[in-house]
Amino acid sequence: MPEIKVENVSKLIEGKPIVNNVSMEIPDKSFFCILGPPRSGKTMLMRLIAGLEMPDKGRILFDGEDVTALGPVERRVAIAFQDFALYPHLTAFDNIASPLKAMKLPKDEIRRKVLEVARYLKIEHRLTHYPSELSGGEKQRVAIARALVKDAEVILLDEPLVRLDYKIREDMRAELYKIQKEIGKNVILITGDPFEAMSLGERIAVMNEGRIVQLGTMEDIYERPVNVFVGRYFGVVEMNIFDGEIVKMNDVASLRTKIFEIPLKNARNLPEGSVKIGLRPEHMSVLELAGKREVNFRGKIVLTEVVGSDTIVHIDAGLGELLRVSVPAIYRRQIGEEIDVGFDIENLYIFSSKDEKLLARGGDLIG
Amino acid sequence: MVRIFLDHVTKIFGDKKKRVVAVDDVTLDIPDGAFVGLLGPSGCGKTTTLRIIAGLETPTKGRVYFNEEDVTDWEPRKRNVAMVFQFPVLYPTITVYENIALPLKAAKEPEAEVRKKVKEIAELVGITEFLGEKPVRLDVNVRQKVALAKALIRDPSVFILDEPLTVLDPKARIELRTKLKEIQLGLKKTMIYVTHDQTEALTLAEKIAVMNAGKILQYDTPEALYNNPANTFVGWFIGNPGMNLIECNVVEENDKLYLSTEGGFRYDISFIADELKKLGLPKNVVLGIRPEFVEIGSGPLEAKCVHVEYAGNRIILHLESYDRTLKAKTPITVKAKPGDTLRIDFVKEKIKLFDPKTGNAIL
Repeated sequence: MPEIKVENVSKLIEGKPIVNNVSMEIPDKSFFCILGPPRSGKTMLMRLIAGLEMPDKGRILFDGEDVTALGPVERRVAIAFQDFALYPHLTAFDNIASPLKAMKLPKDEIRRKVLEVARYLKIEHRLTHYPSELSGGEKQRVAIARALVKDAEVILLDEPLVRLDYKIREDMRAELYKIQKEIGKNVILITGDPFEAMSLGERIAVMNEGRIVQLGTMEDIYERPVNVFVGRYFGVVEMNIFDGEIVKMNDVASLRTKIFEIPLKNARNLPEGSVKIGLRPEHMSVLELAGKREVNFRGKIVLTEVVGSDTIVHIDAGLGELLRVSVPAIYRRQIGEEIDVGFDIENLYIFSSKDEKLLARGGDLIG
Repeated sequence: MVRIFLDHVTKIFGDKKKRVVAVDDVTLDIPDGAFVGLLGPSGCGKTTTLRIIAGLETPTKGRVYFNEEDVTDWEPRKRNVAMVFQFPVLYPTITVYENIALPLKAAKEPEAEVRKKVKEIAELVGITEFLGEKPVRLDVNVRQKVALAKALIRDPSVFILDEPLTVLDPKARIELRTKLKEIQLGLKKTMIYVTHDQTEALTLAEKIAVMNAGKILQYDTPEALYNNPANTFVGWFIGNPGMNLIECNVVEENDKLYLSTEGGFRYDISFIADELKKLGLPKNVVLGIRPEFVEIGSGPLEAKCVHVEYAGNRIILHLESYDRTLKAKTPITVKAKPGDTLRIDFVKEKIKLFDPKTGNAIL
């Protein structure tokens, strides 16, 4: 039941750092999530934690003990891969028993262990069934039972839901969370889906280009993304980013864009000159549906994209980039129609245009 | 200019030992110039339906009409249907221009005419700058646009699009969706769009046929599918997340009508008592309520919060209410954490009732 510590870990492949000087702590018995786009190094980091790969630099500690040189079995780590990879020709019982059979344990001990873990995961009544006869949630439980039966203390889930239909995913996410709470072990989820991380991870490490760019709770990261990359990536709908300028004249500061200008009260810490402005689609609204906001302007509809119960309205407002506006309803309009949209200043993000780091949130500048 | 009509079409694969009914008595009317979606999970029969329309499969039973003409036995070529698939089908060793021009050259059109048409279509689709390139050197987003241009140039009577946008990156997907919509509005061609993704269908199509297990369950506008699902499957399949479906008994007590369960779930539905009585007062129903119409804070029901999913400025609460589970989608300003006990209510006019046996809507 370890607290996991990763200390200055790097892994090179053909001289290139796939994981680049990563340090982090994963609290015991938590649901932790490593989130990143393809080739961000998240899968390699998981393999390093699992003991499937040796780091070129740094070390990994489980409860203070250096496990860098140990393999997965000695670390008591189990991995469930994409699709949960169950054997289709074996019953749930035999699937769970397969690692024990490989270890050549006596039959009655295998039976005892499988039944115990099956009871734990509430699937004892499904043990004689084949994977094709099980529901998605049951398959997931069987795969996790197979991981647990080897007395694993840490369970690594490598993009377990990625190939499933999104409708199935809706329920599987909650199921994964429930299982972690029931078994009370360390579960580490590796995913490329920000929404999955948001809905599951108690703590989330966001990776990009081999490094952890931000680590925190969902609220921390959503409220204060450290840079443009996290802002864009960590959201339900990608954050709008467009160019702006901080203008200071006779102690009066303002934020200027191609189409609007906002006076700023507390802009002392902001440098003059160009900045990047971030605005989440869900913080914008269509005026005819939600009423006037602090800043309002007009745009031309490029597409109304209906995402189930919500709509993302793509508009051209003359900012150079198209803007996305989230509407919590089905809202269909013709391409080319003009609509009024708006937002409140506190919801703005200001990023540096040099290194793209977060400089301030709108709330800090008007308060 | 084609109106397509499927008249009681059934397609059975296999032999006597193993029969698979892929399409089960489907009747579908696609008006001339309409943009229609075929939506359903994998294995629902949508692709077979599309292949029957294109003439790539012959139905076991039923007829296919293009306008007044029975085309059931017509070859694909004669039907003049253009298809765009999930993965763009192009000749890799000839240029984009030659790829697009191919159908016209095969029809022996004069060179000047070919050049004019290719130029027009390339502009429409937005690939003029790539005409001299070979497909192998282009990314999949551009290649799919070329495939679309190649389909358009034949001036077909019907377009069939089989999940053409799934392999594209998000930015290109938005761009091509807009393009498709514009092209359809401009050319007024009959377009049939097949997908498992509700967003694609709801965004593009005027009317959507939702399919499951070989049958069309509902053929309606996006708004109607969302507001008035004809059955529990459509209620669940459309929406993010889908509709809550709660099996209940209907009980009459002291002049009031309740939905109730053995575990103590109890909800007053006297406001629809008259309508339900007209229907002969069913004993059991499935209560359908969308997560966005579950209200948190006050109300007649108690619910325990077991999980909170964050979705931007809204949250999805997973609730246990007596012996039933349901989800609520509410603004993030509603503070709730796992373990909290909450009071909940439903937006009354949004309540749907379904028959537990057939799954069909009754109210």
